[in-house]
Amino acid sequence: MPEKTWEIPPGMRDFLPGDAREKRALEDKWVELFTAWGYQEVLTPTVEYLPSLTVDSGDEIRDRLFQFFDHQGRILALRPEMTIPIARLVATRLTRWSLPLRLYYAANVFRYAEPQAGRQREIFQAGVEVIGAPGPVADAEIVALAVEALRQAGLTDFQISLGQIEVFNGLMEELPLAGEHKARVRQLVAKKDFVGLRELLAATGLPAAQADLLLHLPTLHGGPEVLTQAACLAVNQRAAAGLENLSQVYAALQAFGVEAFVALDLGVLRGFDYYTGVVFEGYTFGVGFPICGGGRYDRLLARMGYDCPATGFAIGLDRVLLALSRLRQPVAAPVADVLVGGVDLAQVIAIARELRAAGLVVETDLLGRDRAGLVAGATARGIKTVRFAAGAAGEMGAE
Amino acid sequence: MKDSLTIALPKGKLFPDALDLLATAGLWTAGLRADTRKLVIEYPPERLKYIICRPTDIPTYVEYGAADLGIAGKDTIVEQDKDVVELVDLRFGFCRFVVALPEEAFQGRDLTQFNHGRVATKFPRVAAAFFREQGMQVEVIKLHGNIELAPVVGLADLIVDIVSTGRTLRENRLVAGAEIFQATARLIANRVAYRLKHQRLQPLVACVRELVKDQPVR
Repeated sequence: MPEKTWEIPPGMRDFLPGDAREKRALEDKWVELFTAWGYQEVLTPTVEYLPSLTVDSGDEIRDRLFQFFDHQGRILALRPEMTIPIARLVATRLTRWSLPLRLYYAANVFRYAEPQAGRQREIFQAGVEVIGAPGPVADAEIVALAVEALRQAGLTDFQISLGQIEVFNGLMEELPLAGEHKARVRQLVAKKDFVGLRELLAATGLPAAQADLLLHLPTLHGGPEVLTQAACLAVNQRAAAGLENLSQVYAALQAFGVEAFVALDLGVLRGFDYYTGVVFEGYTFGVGFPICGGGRYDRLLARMGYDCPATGFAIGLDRVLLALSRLRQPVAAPVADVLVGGVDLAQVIAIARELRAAGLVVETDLLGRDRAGLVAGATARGIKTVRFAAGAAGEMGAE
Repeated sequence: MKDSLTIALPKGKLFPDALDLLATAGLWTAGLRADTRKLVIEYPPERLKYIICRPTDIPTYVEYGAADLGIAGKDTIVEQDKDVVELVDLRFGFCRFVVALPEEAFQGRDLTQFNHGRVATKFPRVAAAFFREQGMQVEVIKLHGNIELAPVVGLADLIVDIVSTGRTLRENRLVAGAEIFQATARLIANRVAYRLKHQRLQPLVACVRELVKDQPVR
């Protein structure tokens, strides 16, 4: 029986010429942007040993790895994201480079999620990491660069929601809850199950004032006024430092002139893996999922033996392309400027070379067509100009 | 787009309660009462749009962002495990998830007698999780309706289903052998809309929460 469909695995996709062109164009824009801001490209292997990829990553990622064995029986996995591989690269290869390091990447990552709701299993991302800059200006640069990347992609109506994970962590420290209840609180907050959270807090007999603080946190959203409204959350040194840091990052974002795109939102927590400071997600209308995300991760490199602060973001190329496809008509595929054919191959090649050198896109005939056939072929493809090389016997001309 | 709002409402038994709640919360609902056959109903003055769909499809509409808000049973939310923000327990649409079985088979005994038995359900995820927690291995058979038929005709030993009054069980001479959990309707939001449309959603959510706070569960 013949393979009736030649299926590809779920969650994987082909890029046809139009899609591939759009993807390439977007990547090129971002590469140019990141380069202009002084970032240098790095690449890491698609496949690594499992432990290298799961340093400090949450269960959510660990459960969703594509894994397999090498011939020695060691477990390999496809990279599920780029931040940890780049941290490994820096911690093992670039420790003598002067700081700060500014690195960028454009790469595919793999996650074994149920392929639904915008979750492909092969995901194309672009992103940056700043290594060795502890201050709020580095975080602001990251956010400003994310804004610029989305703007240059052609999006106008988008928002970056910026939070600070230490405010939540500080609050959690103060909660007189048993370990398993705290773990459950984190789970519920991560799942955004505020009904379950309310029920749990009520069931644990937590004083209403403390429960309210925790329930209040995800409702704080907006401009700089949030920093004032959040003052009540500064329950200890840790939470207060988080808020102070958030206001410094916001002030720097105003200096970058991108605050119109930024909403402060203390409910943004981005899971509970390696982040240690500001965290953010980007959203746009018409796409029900975040289009970018990032934050500060000051302890990750230390886990790999190089104690160094870091911050960064990743943008989902597929999701931005999806958002753009909702905004605009598909661009027509570009066609060649000239189709060259004829009986004298050397002459055909010479003409093509000359026209290409002049900056035109030139196709040569591969089907041995006569003049009429060539014109018909060009018309069908939308190619405006035909050159026919008739050799010594005939004239040569444009039609 | 920032000030537009799309709400997905479930057809069927949750619909009247959902409508009353939204009306009390001050939303325009007049057009929903008049014509029940339209699936999309818009009210341009408030940039408000309703989508009327099957209760089990609500989490999907919300997860993909086709609707910003939705009203869905906790039973559906748990079974589908969608990535949505669960905002308010609306306290209506009460039902219980139970394991039910024929009276003569049960007779007050332990469910573990059905280890390796067959369980028919519309909720395979809930059923599988429950029996796993009980340390039981069962074969879960997914059906799409009239689950109570399965033990009567010998398709399954047990069923996992939602029960509100218990009448269907009694009529089929089934009894609830165990309760898995209780469910009510919930107000859910798309995770992006929850942040992008915060200014419009937050007051509405606060209002709804206040309205249902002291209502009895029903």
